[in-house]
Amino acid sequence: MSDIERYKKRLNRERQARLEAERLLEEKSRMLYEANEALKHTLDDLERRVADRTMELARFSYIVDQSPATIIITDLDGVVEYVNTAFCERTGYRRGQVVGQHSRLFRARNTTPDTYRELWTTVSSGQTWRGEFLTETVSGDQFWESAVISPIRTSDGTIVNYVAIKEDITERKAFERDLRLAKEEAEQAAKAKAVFLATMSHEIRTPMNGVLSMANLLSQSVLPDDETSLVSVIQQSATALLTIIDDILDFSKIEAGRLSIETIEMSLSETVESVGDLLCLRAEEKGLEFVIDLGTAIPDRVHGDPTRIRQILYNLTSNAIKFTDTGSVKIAVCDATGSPQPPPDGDAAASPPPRLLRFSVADTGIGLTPDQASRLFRPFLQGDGSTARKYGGTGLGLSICKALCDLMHGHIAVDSEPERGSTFWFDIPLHMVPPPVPPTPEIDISDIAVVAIGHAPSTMKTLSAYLRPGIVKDFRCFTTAGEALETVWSSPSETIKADVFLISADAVDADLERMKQFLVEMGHSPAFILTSSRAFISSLREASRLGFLSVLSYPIRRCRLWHVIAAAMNRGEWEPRARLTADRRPSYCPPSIDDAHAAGATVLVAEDNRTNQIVMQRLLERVGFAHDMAENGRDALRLYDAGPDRYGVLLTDFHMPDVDGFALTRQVRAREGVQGRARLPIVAVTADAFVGMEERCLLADMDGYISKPIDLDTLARTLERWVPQGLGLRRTAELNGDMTATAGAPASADRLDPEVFSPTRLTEACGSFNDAACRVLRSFLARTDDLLTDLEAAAPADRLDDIAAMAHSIKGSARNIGAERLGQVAADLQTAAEQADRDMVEILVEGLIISTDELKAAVAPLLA
Amino acid sequence: MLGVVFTEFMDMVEDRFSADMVDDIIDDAAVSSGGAYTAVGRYDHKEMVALVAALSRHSGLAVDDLIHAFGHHLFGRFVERYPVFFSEVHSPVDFLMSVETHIHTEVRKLYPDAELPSIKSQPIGATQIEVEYASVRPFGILAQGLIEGAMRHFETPCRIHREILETGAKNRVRFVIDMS
Repeated sequence: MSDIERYKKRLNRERQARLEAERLLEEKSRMLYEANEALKHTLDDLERRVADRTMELARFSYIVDQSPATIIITDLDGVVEYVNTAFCERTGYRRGQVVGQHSRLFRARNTTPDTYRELWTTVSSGQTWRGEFLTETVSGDQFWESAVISPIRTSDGTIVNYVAIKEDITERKAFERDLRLAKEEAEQAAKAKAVFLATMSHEIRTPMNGVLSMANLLSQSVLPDDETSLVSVIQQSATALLTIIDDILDFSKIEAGRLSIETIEMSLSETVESVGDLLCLRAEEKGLEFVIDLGTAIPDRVHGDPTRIRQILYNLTSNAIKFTDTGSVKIAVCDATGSPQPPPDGDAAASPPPRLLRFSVADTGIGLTPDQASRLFRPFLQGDGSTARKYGGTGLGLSICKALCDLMHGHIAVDSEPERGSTFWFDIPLHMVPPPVPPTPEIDISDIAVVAIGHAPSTMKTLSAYLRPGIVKDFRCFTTAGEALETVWSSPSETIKADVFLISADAVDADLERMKQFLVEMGHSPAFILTSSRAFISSLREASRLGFLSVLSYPIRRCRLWHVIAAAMNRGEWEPRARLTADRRPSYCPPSIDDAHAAGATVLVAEDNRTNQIVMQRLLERVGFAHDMAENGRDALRLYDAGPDRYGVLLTDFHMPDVDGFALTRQVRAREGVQGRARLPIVAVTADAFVGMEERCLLADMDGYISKPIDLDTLARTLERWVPQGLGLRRTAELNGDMTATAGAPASADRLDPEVFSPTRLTEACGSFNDAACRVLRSFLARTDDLLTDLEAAAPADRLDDIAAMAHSIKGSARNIGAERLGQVAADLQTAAEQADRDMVEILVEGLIISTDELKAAVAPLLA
Repeated sequence: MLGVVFTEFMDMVEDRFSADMVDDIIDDAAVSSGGAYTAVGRYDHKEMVALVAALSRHSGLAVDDLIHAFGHHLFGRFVERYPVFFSEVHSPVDFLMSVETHIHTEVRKLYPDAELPSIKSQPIGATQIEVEYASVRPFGILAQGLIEGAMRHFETPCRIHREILETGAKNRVRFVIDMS
C-alpha cells in the first residue's frame, strides 16, 4: 500500500472518529439541555414550594409571635432557640439577650429546685409537664406563671426541641392569696368572736356569782318584808342571767365547732331522772304535775353522751315549765321505731345497730302555731317577738338543742297546738350496752301487791307502767282515799291483800285514816308510803308521825320506787342514794407497787393538795393502777430520777409551789434527751379547764390533760391509752362487802342539793358511799377549815398570791369530792385574787366560809 | 469499553511501534468500528481483544505482556488526563481504596452506561492490601498493570501476588500487594 493510500486511510479514520465525537458531543449537549430544562422545572417547583412553605411558616411564626401566651422553644439542653414577643414584653428581655442562653436565666430563686427537677424529668422522658412556677424578669421582679412544657418530635418520633407555653397567673395568684387571707381573717374573726364570747361569759359569771352569793347571804338575814322580796328578785334575776350566759357560752362553742360529743356508757334513768331533780321545785312552785315515764321496755345501760342528753332535756323541760301555767309536764322515753333513722356512719357490721330512742317533753301550756313552730330551732328567734318580753330567754336554747341533736346524729321537732300544749321530742340513735336487757328491780318484788291512791292521771299512768304485772304481783289504783275506802268496805277480801300502799299527799285525809283503821281492825298491816312534792317532804316528821314508812318525791324515780317497795317489805336497806348511784362499772384492785414498777406501769402523781391526793389515790385504785404520790414537783423529780423505768405515765397538777407542772415537764423532757430515754407520757390534771387548754399542754410538751373534777371514765380511758402495759396487771375487785357499809338516811340523802354536795364523785372513787368516802370527806373538811383560817388571815394582809393559791387548792379538791358550789366560789375567788379585785376577794372569802358551812350542814347526816 | 482506553492503546502502539503498526493491527483485527476511535465513545471490548491479539502477531510479543505494559502506560495517562483524582490521595493504599468509591462513581456520572469492573480493596495489616478485580472482561492483567503503575506513581516498591479466582463469563482475580 502506498503512503498516500495509507495517509488517506488514516485521514478517513480520523474523520470518522471526529464525526463520531461530534455526534456524541451533540448527543451529550442535547442531554445536557434536557437535563437543564428538567432542572429548571424542578427548581421552579422547588422555589414555589419554598415560597408556600415560607408563607405558611411566616403565618405560624406570626401566630406564635403574636400569641398572648409566652412561648419559649429550647433545644434538648434547655438552651433557648426562640422566644415570642409576649415573652419579651412580660420579662423585659430582648430576644438577643436570651436566645442562645440557658432557660435557667429567667428562673426565679423562690421556685423550689424540686419543681424544676420534676419538670425536667417529665419532659426528658417525652411527656408533657403542667405546673406553676415563678419567673424572673430582667429587672429581677418575680411573677407567677402557669406552664405547659412539651417535647417537639420529628416525624420519626425523635425529640428535637422543647416548647413552653406559659401564662401569667400573677393576678389569679393574688386573687387566691386575697381569698385565702380573707378566709383566714374570717376564721380568725370567728375564733376571736368565740373566744370573746367565752371570755365575756366567764367575766360576767364571776361578778354574777358575787351578786348571787351576796343575795343569798342577804336572804338569810332578817329583813323587812319588802326588802326580802327585793332580794328574791335579785336572786331570780341573777340566776336567769347566769342561764343566759351559759346558753351564750354553749352557742359560741357550737359556732366555733369546739363542742364535741362523747360516747360513754350511761344510765338512761340516771340521766333523765336527774333532770327531774333539777327542775321539780320549779314545777312544784307553779303547781304543775311533773312526771317522768321511762317505761320498762328500754334497757337502761346505753352508750351516749349523758351530759348533752341531760342538757337538751333540761332545756326542753325548763321551757315546758316556763310556758305552762296549769296541768302537767311529762318527760318520756320510748322506742322511736316508727321513724327509723340509722346513723350516717359507724361500724354497723361490727356491732348491733343502734336503737332510735325518742325523748319527749309534753306540756299542757300555751302551745305554738305552726308558723311559730317552724321558726323555733333557729338561733335568736323565739315563738314570737312578745315571748321574750313575757317569758325572757335568749332564744338560743332550742337552737343549741338542735345543734346538739345534730351532733348526736339525731333529730328534734315539736308537735303543738296553740292553747293545748306542746310536745317537744328528739330522736337519737343509741347503742345498747350488751346484753340489752329491760330494766327490772334489783330486789325481786314480783310477789307483792301494790295499791296507789290519789295520784294525778299522768303519775298514775307512770306508776302502772313501772308496776306492771310481772314486776309486781298486782297493782290497783284509786283516785281518792274515799273511793279506796268504799272498795275496801265493799270487798275487803280483795283490797286487804295489798302489801304496799302508795298514798299521794293530796289523799291524806280523814278517809285515809278510816281506811287504815279498818285495815288494822281486819288484822292486816300493809306498808304505807307517801308520795309527795319536795316542799311537802320538809314535814317528813309529820309523815312519819302519820305512819308512813318512807316518802317518794315527785317526779317518781323508777329505781327508787322499786327499791322503796322492797325496803318496805324488809327486803332491802333503807339506803337509797348509795344504792341507787352505786357504780356498776367493773372495779379493780391495783397490782403491788413492785409488780407495777417492774412492768413500767406505775402512775406517778404530782399533786400538792391533800384532798386531791386522796381522791386521786382512790380513783387510781378503783381503775386498778398502782401509783407513787409526790407531794410536789421536786418530789416527783426525785421519784423519777430514782427509777425512771418504773413509770408508765406522769399525772401532774399545774400549780404547785417551787417546781410547777410546766417546770416538771421541762425537767423530765431534758433528762429524757440527755439520757436517751423513752418518752414518758405526761398528762396535766387541772381545774383550769378553758378553751385552748389542750393546745397549751401540747405546747408545754405534755401529752394531754384531764380536768378536775376527775371523771372516773376519763381517767380510765387516759390510763388505758398511755399505760396499756398496766391493763394486764389489774385485779378484779369485789365491791359487795363494801357497799353495804354505808352511811346516811333516805331523808337526808333526798334533801341534798346536788349543787351543794353530790355524792356521785365519791361514790365513783370509792365504789359506793362507804367509810372510805366518809374519810375523804372528813379530811377535806378539816383541810378546808385550815385553809379558811389562813385565808381569813391573808385577806386583810392583801396577800393576793397566797389567796389565789389557797382558792385554787380548795377549788380542785371541792370539785373532786362533789362540792360543786364551793368549788365554783373558790374558782371565782382565785380569779378575783389573780385580777387583784380586792373588793371581790373580800366578798368571796366570806362567800367561801358560807359555802363551806352550807356543805358541812348538808353532809353532816352522811358523816354521822 | 470506554473510548479512552482504545485511543490510549492506539497512541501507545503508535508511540512504541509506529503509525504503520496502528494501520496494520486495525486491518488485521478487522474491527467493526473501523478503528476510528474517539475518547468519549464506547466500543465493544472484543475489539480490544482483537487489536491486542493482532499486535501480538505483528510484534511477536506475548498478549499478556502487551496488556500488562498497556496497564503501565494507561495509569500514566490517567494521571495526566484526570489530575483531579490524584490531588487528594497521597498513598497507593488511599488511591486503591478510592477507585471503587470515588473514581468509578465520578465516571458513572459522565458515562451512566459504562460497564466498569468492580475493584474491592481491603488493607491487610499495616503493609499489605488485597484488591479483588471482577469483570465480565478478561482484563485482570490490565488491572495488574494499572496497580503496578499506581505503585510506581507513589514510588512504593512492592511485591504483587496474583491469584486467578475465576475465568470465563465472569473474571475474578485477587491481588495481594505486599509493601513491606
